[in-house]
Amino acid sequence: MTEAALGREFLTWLWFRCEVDGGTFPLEQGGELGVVFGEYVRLLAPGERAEEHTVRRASPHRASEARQALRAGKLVAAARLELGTAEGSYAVTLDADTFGLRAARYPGVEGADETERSEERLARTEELLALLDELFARFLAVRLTPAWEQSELPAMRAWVASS
Amino acid sequence: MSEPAGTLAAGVAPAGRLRRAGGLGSAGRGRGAGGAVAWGGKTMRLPALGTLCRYQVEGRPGGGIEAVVERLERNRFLPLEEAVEEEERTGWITVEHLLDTAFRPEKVQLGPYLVFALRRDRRRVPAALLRAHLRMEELAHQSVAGRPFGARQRREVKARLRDELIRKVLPAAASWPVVWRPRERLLWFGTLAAKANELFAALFERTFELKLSPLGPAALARRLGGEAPELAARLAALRPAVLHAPAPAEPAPAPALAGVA
Repeated sequence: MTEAALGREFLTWLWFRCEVDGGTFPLEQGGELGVVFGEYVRLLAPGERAEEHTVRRASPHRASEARQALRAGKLVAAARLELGTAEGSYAVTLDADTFGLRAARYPGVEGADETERSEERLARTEELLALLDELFARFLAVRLTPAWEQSELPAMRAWVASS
Repeated sequence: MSEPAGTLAAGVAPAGRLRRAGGLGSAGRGRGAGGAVAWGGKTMRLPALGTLCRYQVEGRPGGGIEAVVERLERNRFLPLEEAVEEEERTGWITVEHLLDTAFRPEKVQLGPYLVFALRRDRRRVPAALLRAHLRMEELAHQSVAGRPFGARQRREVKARLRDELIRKVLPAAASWPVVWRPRERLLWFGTLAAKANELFAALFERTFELKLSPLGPAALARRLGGEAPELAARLAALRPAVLHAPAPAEPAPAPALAGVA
């Protein structure tokens, strides 16, 4: 299985979980993380000449459009994610193939001088990455166990098949 | 101001508050060990990292912060200026601004992080401009000689014109921040552009003699699992999940009946 396929399965699973669980994930160290799929989701078919499909939030048929793309064998290759905890909210476009981050938006910084603000910016980046890592670890905890084949994958297939 | 979310995925711990964390062994810093940095009355200005990709660094830099600074200094950005034979040049700068290559420990170390930036200058003669100058020369030549350039002459004139014009072209400069946590062997680079990442990895490996590997989904999975061999084996054995119903099989052709053509 390629690097890209693992990342795309993760984002697709995350979307599935957000839809069926309402996008709330308990955090390991207490509290909750809210995840919302943001303004756009890009779906790609596997292969070098991959066919692309982008669904935007503005579309009234977003959910059915996306499922149609999933039924055609595409997976989520990039998505704008909005993440919120009790401490602050973040937004980022995550590239599934590389786990590269684009256009990340962080909570504001309030340091007394530029150096303190630089420190805070780095801390915010660490926090965002830790949240994404925790979601990915949650996916792996299912993907790498028999629960994937027994319950998660059938549930995802039913979700994809639903209109 | 919000505090760190404190949501650690196993194996990858955020730095937390930098003031509590230690960095490389260092020469005197403005605010004590692991603290914020000030030099000459100025402060370090690192922009928010809107775009980044993650790398793992195989090994840690030896010799403390002074050795890191020395290596950066040796591979600092040098302007293209008269080097007309070069179209592109890369080198390290500080995060302060494009023109700052005066590396000092306090300009590079921020708590547990090393921060600097890659600068790339690229100088190219616009193709349309080169074509226009070549055409002008060709017309002038034709009016005197009564015939256009031959292929060889055309190549020579084009090369001469390129050399003349490139001296007049200002290089286009770009830079991307590098944030490195040596203790965790992690690094962030501030662009996802493939070419810039290639240039970055090559210069980083040359500068520090340390190999970089991208922290993509599989590498991150191994890292989150503490690099356990059995996890690596399970990852390697994964088969892509099929979420959609397989396409209905083509109906098999009816078997030919004996005696029917």
